[in-house]
Amino acid sequence: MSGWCKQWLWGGLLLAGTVTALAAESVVVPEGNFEHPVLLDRERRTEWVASFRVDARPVSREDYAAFVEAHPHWRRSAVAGLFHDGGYLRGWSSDVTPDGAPEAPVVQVSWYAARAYCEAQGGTLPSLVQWEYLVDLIRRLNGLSDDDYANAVFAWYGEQRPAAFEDRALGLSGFIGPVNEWLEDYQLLLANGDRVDFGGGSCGDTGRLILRYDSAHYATLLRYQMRSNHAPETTASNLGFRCVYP
Amino acid sequence: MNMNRFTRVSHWLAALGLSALAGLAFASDHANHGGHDHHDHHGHHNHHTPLGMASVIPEGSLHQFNAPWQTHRGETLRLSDLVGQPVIVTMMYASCTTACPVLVEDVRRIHQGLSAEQRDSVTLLLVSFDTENDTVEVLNEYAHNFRATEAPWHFATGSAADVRTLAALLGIRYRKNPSGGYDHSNVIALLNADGEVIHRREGLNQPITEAVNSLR
Repeated sequence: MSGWCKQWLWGGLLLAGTVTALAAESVVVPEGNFEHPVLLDRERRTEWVASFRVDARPVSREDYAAFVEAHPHWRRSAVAGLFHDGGYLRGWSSDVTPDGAPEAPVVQVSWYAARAYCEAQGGTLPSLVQWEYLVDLIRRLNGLSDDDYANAVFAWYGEQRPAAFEDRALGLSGFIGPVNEWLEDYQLLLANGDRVDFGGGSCGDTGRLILRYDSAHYATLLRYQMRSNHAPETTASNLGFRCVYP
Repeated sequence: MNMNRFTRVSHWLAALGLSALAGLAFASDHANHGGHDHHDHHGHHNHHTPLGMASVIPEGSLHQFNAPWQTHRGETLRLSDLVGQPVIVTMMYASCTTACPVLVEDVRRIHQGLSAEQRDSVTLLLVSFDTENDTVEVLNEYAHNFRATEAPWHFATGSAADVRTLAALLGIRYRKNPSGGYDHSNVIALLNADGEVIHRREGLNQPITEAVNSLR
């Protein structure tokens, strides 16, 4: 892919990030077949994914502020200690006043908090299969090469954080961007017959199970593993979420 | 800084064998492990009003999780109702013929290892992963098969979301497999009377001494 094209893809969201967020819009995702890039089950290489709706962008700080306004037990001063690691909404200047740009993705939210938000919207966090299916779909529909995808993922772990690329096919934003996203079943459990959780889902074990040994699959493996290692109470400045709906 | 919580998490991570990519630096203070002092971690925030519920219940307490479970006797049980009672908790499912019967027997062995007084105060909670098939009736039959129908045994089912929350709280990983069963980590956890995880073990048919001693 040419440098110009790459710039077009990855630069798109620099622009989108400055536009005031619209009310949370959702996008209908078409059904389709998902080829597992990391073989979580030896017997299951592909999986049919039913159509679902997904938030077009990650949940924003102002979205989340509205949620804690309506659900006081999820305010920073009231939230149960069991459900976060102590850093919940750490940067906010009050219980209901987000830091930074209101339209920026909300971060410093634990998995428990993210799930509570989605439940309040009548949705859930995406499943791992739903989210990875979307990444695959976006890559294909926008003609993103394996190398460009892999470079974007690896950049995430380096100094230069990429802007999330804008998806011009489905209208989704935020995937493989500066903010990672919680998933309902993000923790890996590897099974091989009766041998369950061998190696505890360590990187070496997962690495034996990637479908192909190319840069794109390695990049995906890195994302799976990194995501799996979060504890559910973790709050981090690069971890947000979006919701899906039936 | 709530060292207990971080310590517990770090131990779980270590127990799960999670590797270098964690990107999360947890302090690991072994001397503090198992300590029961409860710090108010909200203290470092500046704008907080005094705490309500969360200040009464220890912050790591599973009593803060009030999901309703339906037991094999058709009763509703909430962890938040078990204040003052130790709980031995595991997760299993009825059609599982390999690991789960061993887990049930492990719970029984730990229970039988307790003193008579402790045996009377403890609750045994076994929550099913299989929210589709493990109805109250199925779990009742399962309890009969194990001669475990009476209190303190509670085989329980709940919503799929609550099952996943409980698994997360206990550090149990699971996934429905292509043959309709569940792959899952084999974990038994002990909660003290304050609802805190004071012992957690992975694996099957392990010695019970440590578990029993943790409730002393």
